[in-house]
Order: sequence, then structure tokens, then C-alpha cells
Amino acid sequence: MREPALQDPHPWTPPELHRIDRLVLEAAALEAAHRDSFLARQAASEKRLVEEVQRRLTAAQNLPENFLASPASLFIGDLTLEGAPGESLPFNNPPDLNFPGSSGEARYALKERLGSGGMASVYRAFDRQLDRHVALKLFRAGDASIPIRLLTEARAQARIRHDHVLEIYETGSFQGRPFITMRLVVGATLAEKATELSLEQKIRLLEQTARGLHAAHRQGLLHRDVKPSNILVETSPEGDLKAWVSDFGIATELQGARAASDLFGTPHYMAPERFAATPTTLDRRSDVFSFGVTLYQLLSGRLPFAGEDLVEIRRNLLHSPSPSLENTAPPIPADLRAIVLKCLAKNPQERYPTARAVALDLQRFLDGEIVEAHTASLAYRLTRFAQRHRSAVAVAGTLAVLLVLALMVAAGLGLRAVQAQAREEQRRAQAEELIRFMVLDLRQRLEPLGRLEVLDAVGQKALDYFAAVPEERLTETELGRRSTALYQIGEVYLQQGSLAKAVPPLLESLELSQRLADRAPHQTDRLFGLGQSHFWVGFAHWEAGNGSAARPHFEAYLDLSRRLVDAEPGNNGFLLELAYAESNLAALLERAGEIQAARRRYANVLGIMADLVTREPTNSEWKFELAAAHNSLGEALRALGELEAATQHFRQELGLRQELASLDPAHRPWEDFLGTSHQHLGTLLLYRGRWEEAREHLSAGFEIFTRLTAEDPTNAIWQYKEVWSRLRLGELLWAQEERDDALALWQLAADLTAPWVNQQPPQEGWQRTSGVVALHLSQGEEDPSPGLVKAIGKLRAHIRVFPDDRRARTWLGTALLRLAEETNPPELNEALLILESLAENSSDFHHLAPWARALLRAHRLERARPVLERLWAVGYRDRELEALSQEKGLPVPLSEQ
Amino acid sequence: MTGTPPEHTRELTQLLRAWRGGSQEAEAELWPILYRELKGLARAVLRGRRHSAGPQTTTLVHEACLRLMGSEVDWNDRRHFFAVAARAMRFVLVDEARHRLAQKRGAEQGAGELAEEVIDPATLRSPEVLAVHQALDRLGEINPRHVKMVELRYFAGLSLEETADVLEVSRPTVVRDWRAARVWLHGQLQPTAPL
Repeated sequence: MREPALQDPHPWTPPELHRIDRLVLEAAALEAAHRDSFLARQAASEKRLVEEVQRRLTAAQNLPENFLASPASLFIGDLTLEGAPGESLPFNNPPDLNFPGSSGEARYALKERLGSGGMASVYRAFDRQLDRHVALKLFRAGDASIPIRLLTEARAQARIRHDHVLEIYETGSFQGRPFITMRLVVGATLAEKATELSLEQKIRLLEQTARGLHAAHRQGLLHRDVKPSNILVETSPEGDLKAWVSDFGIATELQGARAASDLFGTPHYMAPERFAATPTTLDRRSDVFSFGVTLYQLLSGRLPFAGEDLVEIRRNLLHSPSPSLENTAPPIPADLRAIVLKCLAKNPQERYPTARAVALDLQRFLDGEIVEAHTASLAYRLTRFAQRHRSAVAVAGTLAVLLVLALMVAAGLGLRAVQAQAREEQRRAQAEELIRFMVLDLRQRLEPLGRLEVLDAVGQKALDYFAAVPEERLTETELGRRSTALYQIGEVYLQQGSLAKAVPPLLESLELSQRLADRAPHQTDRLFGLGQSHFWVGFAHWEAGNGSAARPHFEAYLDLSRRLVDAEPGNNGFLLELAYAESNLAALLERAGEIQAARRRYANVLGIMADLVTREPTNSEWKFELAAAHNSLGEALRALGELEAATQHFRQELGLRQELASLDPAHRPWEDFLGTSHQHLGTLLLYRGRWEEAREHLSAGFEIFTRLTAEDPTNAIWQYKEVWSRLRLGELLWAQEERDDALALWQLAADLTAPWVNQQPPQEGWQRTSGVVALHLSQGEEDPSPGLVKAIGKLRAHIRVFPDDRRARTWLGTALLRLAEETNPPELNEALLILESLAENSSDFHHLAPWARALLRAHRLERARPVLERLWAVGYRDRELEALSQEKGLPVPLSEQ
Repeated sequence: MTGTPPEHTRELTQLLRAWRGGSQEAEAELWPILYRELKGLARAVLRGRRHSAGPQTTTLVHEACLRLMGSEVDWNDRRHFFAVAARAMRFVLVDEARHRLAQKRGAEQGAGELAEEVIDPATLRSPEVLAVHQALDRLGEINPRHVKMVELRYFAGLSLEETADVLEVSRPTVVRDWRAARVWLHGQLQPTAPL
């Protein structure tokens, strides 16, 4: 083969280039006439450099007048104008690029062609200057966009220094054709090599590839064309194999990569989101998908998403499930299949978040460890299974689900533990990881389905596992982990409502962490662990409705949190714990009726959260908590009859919620809380007679919740909030004499409530709500009595299950009172009894108003007078009660509006 | 929940002064405000919904200044505004250029010969914008003042006088530096320019 004479345009070292650049800049600042003398003054040793400077200055003499003359900002404006832009388009008609090199001799000698692609051919070449062989990629001429892409490619790849990313040496041009030189790899591409590799070799090479990709991602670069032919496999003289990621030919900086408009890549390997109609920002998970296709192909010998043409490939990528890898010969281990499937998830969120995570799992597989993808994909499939067969699962499915889970646990905790006995610590760490995953991740998936009971078996297995490890062989760190695992398991039982089961692991966790903390009382992580355990034990009691048993634990938790903050005042995490601890105790006090004490604690919480938000103004989680603190304090103030102060806090809460929701309009929980906030404020305004404002907020809440439930009808919490938004908005309309509309809202609320009422175990909120709905609806009946009887029945049944529910008792008292107003019977006495017990020592208008009404009905006018005066004084407004009061000659509120 | 315009302006003015005083936080806060405003304006122009807030508005940066700072803005604050906005404008334009090139390539991929039709003037200029953007990083290693100047002149579209004003140098200095930067960039923008 004849060696083409390649001219080398810039044989400069980086310092030389820097010097040239500086000289060009300095010389060019001078009038043309003065440049020569300036250059002549430079040192003789820089002669070669000065020649290059001269060359560049000469080339620039032909600089078009309008080169960079019109601002780039106008090019956008030009779109609305007619006419062509200026001629300053260096890339449109590239000048002849073949200029003579300074050294005279061509630097590179081209040898044989190693391969060729659409845009370029790769040759082996000899670099005479550095006396080494390189790979030289020579681009085809004529594509106006090559230079810029060349720049991008080379810059991109040259920035990454990694064992498994192919090194870029230099760029240049030959006869108008740009080229890049890079490390010459002796070997073949993975595509060519695949058939001769063992399974282990393939996995090792791909693990290296994933690490190389991760290095690129960390530099902000996507590869965007991951496939076997872009992975080079080098064989060392010893026969070791090494993978090199090459050809970042279409690598684009992560920022600004747009899917729909930038379809490069080889279609078979492209992530589905790159075909999406709406432009989504691509991220590293698109490369993870392509990597998954590569992995799939290497393992099975075929493409997962094949197709005759782009249309078919696209359809398969977007819509066909990942084909099974289960019946291949030789068989592919289940863990490996799980890794492939996790890479190939259609939804980027379900893939590995980073290439490094894939590499880690591949490494774990090679070491015979537990593979994260396995548990995750099983959980995912379980969830999908449960979603598809909701009713079936409820009966027969439980068994199957439990079996699968038992298998998973057995695989995760049993078999692998045997394999990895030599690495016990690692095994334990992974066991804990697995448990954490089950407790947190799996729970999140199963919770919306109401399928928490499937976690039961998992928890039991995990406890068995810990029980089987002799305690004397555990280090203190491991004891700490065990304590954590125990309270997490307890937490699952709590979520399932099985209190009895939750308490033993929680107490064991508490005992363990107490022991650990006693051994090192000044170690903050021990105190922290102990605090968590106290909290969970307290929480278990709290959930059981046993406030007095919960109290010492909540107090201990608070005390420990204070000690943590004292130990490390700058630790925001501890400060947050303190806020939680104050808040928990406040909630407990509030439930016990000690509202004043609760209010002080809530004020503490507010102070801490405000402090934290000042420390980190951009932390939206803390803003969220700050909003919650305003809400709690507002509720306490409302109950104390300080309605104006309560309104102020609700307003501040709403402001924060609006801010959060606007930060991320797609984040549903924030929208949910925004709706709730509107709801709270609107309800309070409703009872203060501020109709217009109340209507505005109640409508906003109603609008948000109807939208959310339309989006996801399975979300019980949104359904519940929608029902209440209907109830409250209806109350407003009723008070405004828009009775038909109010009744329509209530009727729909009843329809929405019906399916949730008979759930087992009974849900506190829904039971009470169904009674309240019946009570509201009775108002529209000619004879309200049957409706009221129904409401009373429901509320009584509810109170039998939840005797501490003061709100339910308030509603029951109200319902009895209404019935008494209709029929004048013994119900009035019972209503008086219930309402008096609630109103005693209470400043909450929810208690005082029905009590006043009952007193008026019972003609106990002198008893009613102070209650009414109290209500009017705090700003409570209720048209029916005002009318009744006036009828009896008792005071009415001063009209302030 | 937005503040009244004077408050907004006052806040911006304070940020600009803090930035001038060397506050990193101020720059971090200023940047998104200016970037979003400029991006929004650019998008509006692209959609043909361009409304000039004043009679003599010439560029998006001027427009943004008028909208955010009002017409009574102190000349010192205005200079600071331009200094920060020029960088933001650079990124707005680079973004837009990338987007356009991507669209063009996408179209080429989809339907070979149709490619001609989608090439509009802005698309033609996109490689230039990107190349200048990339070359500036390198220029910054030699003389950051030149970078600022190219940002002000080329990306923000300020006049020689305004540029001199913002950089606090004389007009002849700007003329000289601008000439040097153009020559230097010309050397860089040749397709085979060293990287």
C-alpha cells in the first residue's frame, strides 16, 4: 500500500500552543504596520513559533469585513426579518485546509485500514515524530458539519482520563479531510470478538465498559452510541482482556442533549425516550439502556428489539416488553437476567441510575453476591402482577406472592449467605441492604395497592436471619445495624396495623440501642440510634391510641435530640430531629387536650424550621417542613380560639406551599399539600364568615383534588381529600343559600366515600367521613330524621372502634342535636352530654358552636350566653346559630363586615 | 405571589451591587433571573411574539434590562447588568444554536434531500456560535478580558461605546482588543484549528 504524504498542521506542545495564542493576540492588537517589528523583537529561540504566528496573521488578512461583525444575538432576531444573513460562515464553505506543515516532513504514515464507518475510516498510522503507532480516523470530506462535530468528539473524549476510555491524541487535517489520532488498540471490537468469549470474560469486559462510561458521565458526557462495535477489546501479551470505550462520535454535552430532534445513534441500541415525541432531556440512563441492549446481545446472541426498518424498531423499543432471557442455551443465570432487564426498563426511572451501579452489580454477580437488580425487578414484577390482578390477588394471589417473596428471601439471605460465608461482614451489610430495600422501597410500591401484608413474610425471614447469627459474633457496628433493621421491620408491622407484632422487634431494637448507647454515651450515632428506637416504640403506642405509654418514649426522644443538638450545634440533621421530636410530643399533648402546651411545642418547631430554612434557603424539604409547622401551630391556635393568629399561620403555610408547587409543578405531593393548605385556610375563613375568600380557597382545593384523583383514582388519600373538599365547599354554598349545588357536591362525596367504608381493617378517616356525609345530606331531605339516624348509626359504630376520636364525637353530638331538633326526643340529652364533655376546657369553635346550639335548644339560655359571647368574640360566624341566638334574645356578633 | 416591580428592581439592584462587591451568592442568584428572562425573550422572538418595551431597544439584552430594571436605572447598575447578562446571553444563544443544529441533523437523518428546506439563516449561523463559544474557553486561558469583550460585543450585541463603558476601558482599547480577538478567533474557527 502506498503511503499517502500526510501534512501535519500543528506539531505543537500545549505550552507552545499557549505561547502562539498569546503572541497572536498581542500582535493582532497592533496596527498591521507595527506587527512585524513586534514579532521581530521576540526571542530567536521562538523562531518556529513566530512563523506560525505570522501564518495565522497572514491568513487573517483575508478576514472578511463582516467576520463576527453582526452580533450573535441578532441571529435570533433575524428570523423575523427577511433576507439572508452575512457571509461570515466559516463552516459553510471550508477553505482549502491543506497548508504546508512547518517541519517539511509528513508526520503520519498511513498503514492498513482497520475499519470504516459512515463518516470516517480508521487506519493504522505511524507517528514519525513520537515514534509510535496510532489509530488515525480520517473523515470523509464534504460534510459541512464535520468540523464542528470533530471538535466536539475530540474535545469530549480527550477530557476523559480513564483506564477504559480510549485516549485521543491529536486532531488535524489532510487534504481538507479532518482526522483524529488515538491510541492504537491491538485486538478487535467486542462485536467481532463476542463469539469467542466465555460468559465470565464477557461480563468482565462489560463491567469495565460500564466503569468507562461512568467516567465519561461524570465529566458530563453522554456516549449516545453504546454498542458492541464501539467497545474495543485489547488482548495483552499475557492473554488478559481489556475493554476500551471508543467513538464518542456523537457525544454531546449532557446539558442540551435533546431527544426528539437529535436522533443519532444506532437505532437498535437507542433508549426509547430518544424516540419520544415530546423532547425529553436525555441523561446517563439513556446510555444505560444502550448498554443493556449490548449486554443482552452479548449474552443471547440476538438483539432484544429487532425490526426490519426504523419504524418497526421504534415500535418494538417503545412498546414491546423486553424479550425473555429464560430459555437460552446455555442458560443465563437469573441474577444476570435481572441486571439486563433493569437496564432495559422502558421508564428511565426504573433503570440503574448510573453506569457505576450497573458495574457494581456485574461485579457482585461475578463475586457470587446478592444482585440489587434481582430484588428490585422482582419487586417491580410483583407490583405489576398485583396491579393487574388486584381482585385475584386479594384472595388467591396472596399465596403466590408470599411464595415468590419467600423464594427471594431464601435466595437473598440463605443460599447466598452460604456461598459467601468467607465474607461475613459483606453478607450482613447486604442482608441489611436487602431489608432496607424491602422495608422502604417495596413498601412504597405495595402501599398504594394496600398490599402491605405481603411484607409480613419478608419481615419474619429477616428476623429469623438475625436470630440465627450468634450475637457474640457481632461487632458493635453490626449490632447497630441490627437495631436499625429491627425498628424498620417494626415499622412495617405498624404500617400493616399489626401493633402486637410491631412491639417485640421495636422493644428489642430499643434494648439493643440502649446497650450500645450506654457503652459509649458521648457517641452521637449511638444517641441517634437510641432516639430512633424510642421514637418507634413511642409511635407504636401512639398508634395504639395509648398516649400515656407513648409519652415517656417521646420525651426520651426529645431529650436525646436536644443532647445531639448540644453536642453538634452546626449539624442540621440533628436540628431536624429536634424539630421532629418537639412536633411528636406536641401532637401527643394536642391529642390529650393539652392544647396550650402543644402550642408552645409547635412554636418551638416553627422556630427550628425557620432557622434551618435560613441556613439553607434552597432546601425545599425544609421549606416543606416549615409549612407543616405553620399548619400545626395554626391548628393549635384555632383550637385555642385565636382565629386571627391561626389565619395568619395558615396564610404563611399557603405561601410556602405555593412556592414549592411552582418550583416543580409536576411533583404531585406538593400539589397535594397545596390543595390541603387551601382547604385548611378556606375552612377557617368559612367559619369566620369571610365568604368570598373562603370560596376562593375552597374552590382552589376542590379543583386540585378533583384533578389529582382523575389522574390516579387508586390513591386513597387524594380520594379522601376530594371528599372533604366537596363537603367544605358544600358547607359554604349551603351557607350562601346555594343549596342545590351544595347537595350535589355532598351526594358525589357520598358516592366517593361508599367504596372505602367497608375496608378491613377499618380506616379511621373513612368511617367517620361516611357518617359526616350522611349528616350533611340529611339537611336536604324534607324529613331529615332517617338520614340523621343513619349518620348517628355510622358515627356510633365508628366510635366503638375508635373511642378517642374527638372529632367523631363532635359530629355525633351535632347529629344527635339535629335529630333532637326534628323530633324533640331523648337525643337532646345525649347530645348535651357529649357536647358538654367536649366543650369543657375547650376553646375550639368546632366544640363550642354545637354546644351553644344544644344549650339554646334546651332553653338553658344563661348557660348558653357565655359560650356564645366567647364564640362571637373570637370571630366565629355561623348564620344559623346567629339567627337562633337572636330568636332567644341572646347576643349576636357585631357586624364587622 | 410576585413582588411589585419596584421591589423586584430594588432586589436586582442590590444583587448587582453585591455581585460587583465580589459576592458569589449574588452571582448565583442573578444568573437564573437573567438567563430565564433572556431565554424567555429569545423564545418570544422566535415565536414571532416580540414586544419591544421601549422605542430604541436594539438587542435582547437591552430589552431585558429595560424590563427588569426599568428606564430610570442608574448607569452603574446598568453596566453591571450588562456584564452579567452578556454571559447569560452567551448560554442562551449556544443553547439555541445546539438545538437548531440538532434539529437540522435530525431532519437530515429522517429525510435526506429535504434537509435543504429546514436550513434557515439561524441554523446556518449556529456552527459559528458554537465554535466561538468553545474557542472562548481557550481564549480565557490567555486573557479573560477579551472573553468578556467578545461576550459583550458578539453575544450581547453591545456597541463599542457600551462595551468600553462596561469594561471600564477607553474606546481605543476596545477597538484594539476587538481587532485582536477577531484575528485570534479567526485562527481558531478554521475547521482544523488546534484544540
